[in-house]
Amino acid sequence: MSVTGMRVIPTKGFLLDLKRRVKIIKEGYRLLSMKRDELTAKLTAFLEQLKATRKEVMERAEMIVMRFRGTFAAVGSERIQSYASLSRGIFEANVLPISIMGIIIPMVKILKEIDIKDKFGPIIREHVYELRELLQDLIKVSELEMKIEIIASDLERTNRIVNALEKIIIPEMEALAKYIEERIEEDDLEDFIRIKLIRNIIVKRRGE
Amino acid sequence: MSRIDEYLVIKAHGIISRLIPVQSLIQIAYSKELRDIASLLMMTEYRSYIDKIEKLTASALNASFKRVMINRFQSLIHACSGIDREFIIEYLRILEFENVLKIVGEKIGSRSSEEINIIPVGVESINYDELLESRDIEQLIRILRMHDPYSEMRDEIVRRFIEDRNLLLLEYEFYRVRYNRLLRLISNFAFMEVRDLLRKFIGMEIDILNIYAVTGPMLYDFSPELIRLIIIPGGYLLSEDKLAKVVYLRRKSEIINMLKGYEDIVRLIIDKRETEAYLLAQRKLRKEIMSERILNYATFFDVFMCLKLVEFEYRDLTQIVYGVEYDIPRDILQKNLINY
Repeated sequence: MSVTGMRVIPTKGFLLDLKRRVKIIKEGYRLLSMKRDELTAKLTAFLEQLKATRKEVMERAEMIVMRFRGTFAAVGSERIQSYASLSRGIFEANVLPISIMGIIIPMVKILKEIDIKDKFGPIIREHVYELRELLQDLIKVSELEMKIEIIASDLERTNRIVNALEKIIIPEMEALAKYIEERIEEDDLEDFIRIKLIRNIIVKRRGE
Repeated sequence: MSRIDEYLVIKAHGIISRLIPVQSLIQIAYSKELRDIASLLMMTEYRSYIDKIEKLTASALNASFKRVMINRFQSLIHACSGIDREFIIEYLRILEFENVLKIVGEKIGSRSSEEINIIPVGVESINYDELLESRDIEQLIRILRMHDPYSEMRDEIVRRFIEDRNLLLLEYEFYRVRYNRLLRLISNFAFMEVRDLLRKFIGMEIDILNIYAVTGPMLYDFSPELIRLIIIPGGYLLSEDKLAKVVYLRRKSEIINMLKGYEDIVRLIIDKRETEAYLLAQRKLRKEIMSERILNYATFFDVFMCLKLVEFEYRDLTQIVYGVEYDIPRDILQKNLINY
């Protein structure tokens, strides 16, 4: 028997304790399987969401960058540089922890947006507004990617535990319980036979 | 026409004859890399500057184009005097403003002065080093206002700029000062035809800038009150009153209707295709200027045309260089050229 870290004593007390443990482990297994199913469902939903969002954001980003390259070429670097300096270092975001089924995942909270209202000149303003929206979408995508990564790694861990419980620990503990039961039964039978023999010997002696 | 004026016009014709022909510009636009652009320009007067470039980059090429443009303008300035000279200097002021805006922008962004690359224009009354060494924006503005033409900046604009660090306000104020000065100079020109033509083209430039400004509230929720403040007077087709009304309009059709004469440009701006609108406006301006060429041959209009054509060539070459650098499809790049 190889139930790790457990000293096996084939007694009734131990059997009762083992059975109680098996029951708790089975309950844990049931809860963990529920968690696994829930995480799988969440992961699938997030993956679907990411697939759709990322495709849309990437296509938009490509288009925005393409258009911006055109503007950069048409307007020249100097004007763009002058305006670009205005928005340096004025974006602030905080990463907050939120819990999904006990897993801590990050949520990005924008504290200070880039103030672009009324500030940018002709031609450039169009790109500034587009890029600000794109930045927000990119934050959403990265937040989603992070969520997926964390949930996936937790799912992998949960899955490993569930599999270990299902395939190794619970069967081994049940087999151990069965073995102990059989040992106890055998011991009981031995005791019974021994008692019976002793009784026969005693009866024989009294009869003499 | 005086002998000096004749010399100026001949000088302008000389510069125009050395401009890169449209077909060659298109050929340059199809360059695979920056080295191809440099080698194609080796046969032109850009050679002397390109030769000096140590590391061939888009910004190094662009700087050499700018130097050639400034040289051309400088050669015109040296060939004239009086009002003609003042007009060209004032026209060239746009490059000085670009430099000042660059310094102001970088100061707001707290960039160190070593990182700011400035190409002097040669007509400045200000010292860029003094601006670069200024402690803060307030001091920079104080220094600026001590010099001509920055002393013409309105107090309210300066106050609001210092409060909000709003570069749009400063940019439009610079434009307003420059166009006011140009219009004042135009009214002193001797020939009525020349005066009217210059007023028309300068007015068209003002109109285009104003169109961009007044569509801001509808497109990007800009403050109408702020936009009213930056409207530049002296437009060709669009009066200040009309523009002030457009600021409060929210329906596209009403705006297009109010900005009659520039419907195609306005439509592009409203569709948020502002770069295309800018290029269309420049091409329209070029076409209009070229259409007046024969009727106004050998007048100061030729000099003005020369200034515009030199500027258009610079803008096109800049576009080609950055277009090649950022790998913009060559057919699009070619179509985007002002000279196309």
